[in-house]
Parts: sequence; C-alpha cells; structure tokens
Amino acid sequence: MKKIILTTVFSVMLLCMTAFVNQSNEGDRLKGVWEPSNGRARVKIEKIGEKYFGKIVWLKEAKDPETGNPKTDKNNPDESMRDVPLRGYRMLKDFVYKGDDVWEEGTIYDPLNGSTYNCVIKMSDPNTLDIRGYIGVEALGRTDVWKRLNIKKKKSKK
Amino acid sequence: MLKTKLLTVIFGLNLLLFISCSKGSKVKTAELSDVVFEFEGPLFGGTNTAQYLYSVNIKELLNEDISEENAIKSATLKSATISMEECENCYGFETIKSLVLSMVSDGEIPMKEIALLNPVNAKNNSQALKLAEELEIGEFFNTDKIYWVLDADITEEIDDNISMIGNFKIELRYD
Repeated sequence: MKKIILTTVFSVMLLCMTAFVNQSNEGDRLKGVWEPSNGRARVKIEKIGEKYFGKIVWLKEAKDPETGNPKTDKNNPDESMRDVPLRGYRMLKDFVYKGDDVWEEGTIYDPLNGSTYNCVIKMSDPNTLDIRGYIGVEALGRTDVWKRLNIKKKKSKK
Repeated sequence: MLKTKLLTVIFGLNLLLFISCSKGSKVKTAELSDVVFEFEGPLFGGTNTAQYLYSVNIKELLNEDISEENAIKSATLKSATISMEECENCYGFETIKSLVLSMVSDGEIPMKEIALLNPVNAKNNSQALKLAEELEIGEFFNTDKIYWVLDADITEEIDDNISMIGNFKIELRYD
C-alpha cells in the first residue's frame, strides 16, 4: 500500500516538473531578433533569469542628425541615464511566459518620448508577434506587428 | 482652537512615526567583489550581454546574524567599477565603447539600470561607472537571487570570450 502511495506521489511530482519545464521552454520561442512594423529598428529578445527582455540591436538611423554621434536615450526621465546608447537599449523588459503563446507583466519603452507602457506580447505564428502597449486598460492600447528576422549563423573560421 | 489641536495631534503622530521608523535602523556599506561577467564569444559588433547570478546572503553581506525576512529597508549603490581580466593576451577596453549595469530579479521587481559609462576610457583597465540618480535597490536584497547584468558595446566582431570583473559597494539600511 505504502509503495503504491509513494509511486503515485512520485509520478505526480514528475508530471508537474515535466509540465513546468515544458512551459518554461515553450516561452523561449520568443527569443530571437524581431523587426517592428515601421522597419526602423531590430530588437533581440533574450532571457535573463526567468524573464524575457528585448534590446535594440540595429537602428535604421543610428546617428543623431544634430551631433553626428550615435543616438543615446536623450528622452530618459532620469537625466543621469541619458548617455545610455540607444543601440543596445532594452526597450522590452520583464516579460513572463503565461502559456498559450502569451507573455505578460512586461513593459515597452518608447525612446521617441521617453515613455514606458504596460505591454502584452502574443505570438500569432512562430514568426509574428502582436505587441500591445497600453496605459491602465489593455483594451485601450495599440498593437504593433513585429516579424521575426531569420539571422543566418556565420561559419566559424578554422 | 480645534484646528490648532488637530495640527498638534498630526504633528505628534508624524513625530512618533518618524521616531519609531528611525529607531534601531542600522547602516552598513557592503562590498560585492570579484563579480565575474563572462561574455561568451563569438561576440558581434554592438551590445553584448553577460549576467552574474548572485544568491542573496544577507548574513554574509552584513556580517551579522540576521534572521528576519525583508530585513533590508533600503539600499543604494555607492560605487561600481568594472575591470578587464588581466592576462598576457587578454583584451583591453579599447574594444569596448560603453558599459551599462542593470539588476534583474525573477519576482515582480522590474529591471533597473543602475550605472553606465559612455564613452569608456580605453587607457584605463578599471572603469568607474556613473551611477543613476534614481537608485533605490533595497527590494532586490529581500529576494533569493539577483542577476547583475552588464551590457558592453563592442567595437567589432570578436571570435573569442571576454571576461570582466565587477566590484560594487552598496549601502544597506536594515533593522
């Protein structure tokens, strides 16, 4: 009897762990390089700890037309951080995978006005993301469609 | 008359609150040294990221026997320096344009950029980062683990690994 109970408990634990690992790995499908609909930037989504973050890795207009220097986050509300380069800036932060191709609890930053919005990411197909930014109520937000860029890996020189 | 009494009561309550909050609060500057950031190559030209997982150990950090949960009331970063691993064929800071240091937790605390340097001084092997002004990081130290994240803007593709070492001084206020 004891053996049966132990086997059952062990099986349930194993099942839960497998489900947790699978869900965690499923979320990793968000990783990669994505392009917003305006085509002016490319954003690489990576995982840090259990959360997902997206940083700008390419800008169509990388230099500030006024200074000729690489663009920095000059609209950041924290003045001390306005020298942070825009290329490399993390505009998507703190997304948690919730299952069913949805990542929530994150924020999106608009470097054009220095504003941060709540954000939900939905993957409509493996190469398309619906990025919905909003303040307060999700229904009143705006959705942008991002496309995955398939970056070919270079062969290492040997 | 009533207004004066009311003001006196409010003032008294505030004073009581201030005294009770400030009583017993201690301050200590802790040092986190030899935090190794491994940038695993191949590294592309642009921003590359390395992270260091720090398991929070308040007793060790404060060198005091603290058992209370959420013991840290507030914390601020006092200094952050990043240096290159020193060895014969190691890279120097001439390959790096800028550095940004951030903190991440697995919980509800949002990521925080806490220090930066742009541009990096290529001649120095140790870079003192400029600290962000809005720098309350106490809540991170009441969690189990902190990811220290370093973004380095690299000038060109490097088919190799780069190691950097962080040293951070943190002022912690606790009960």
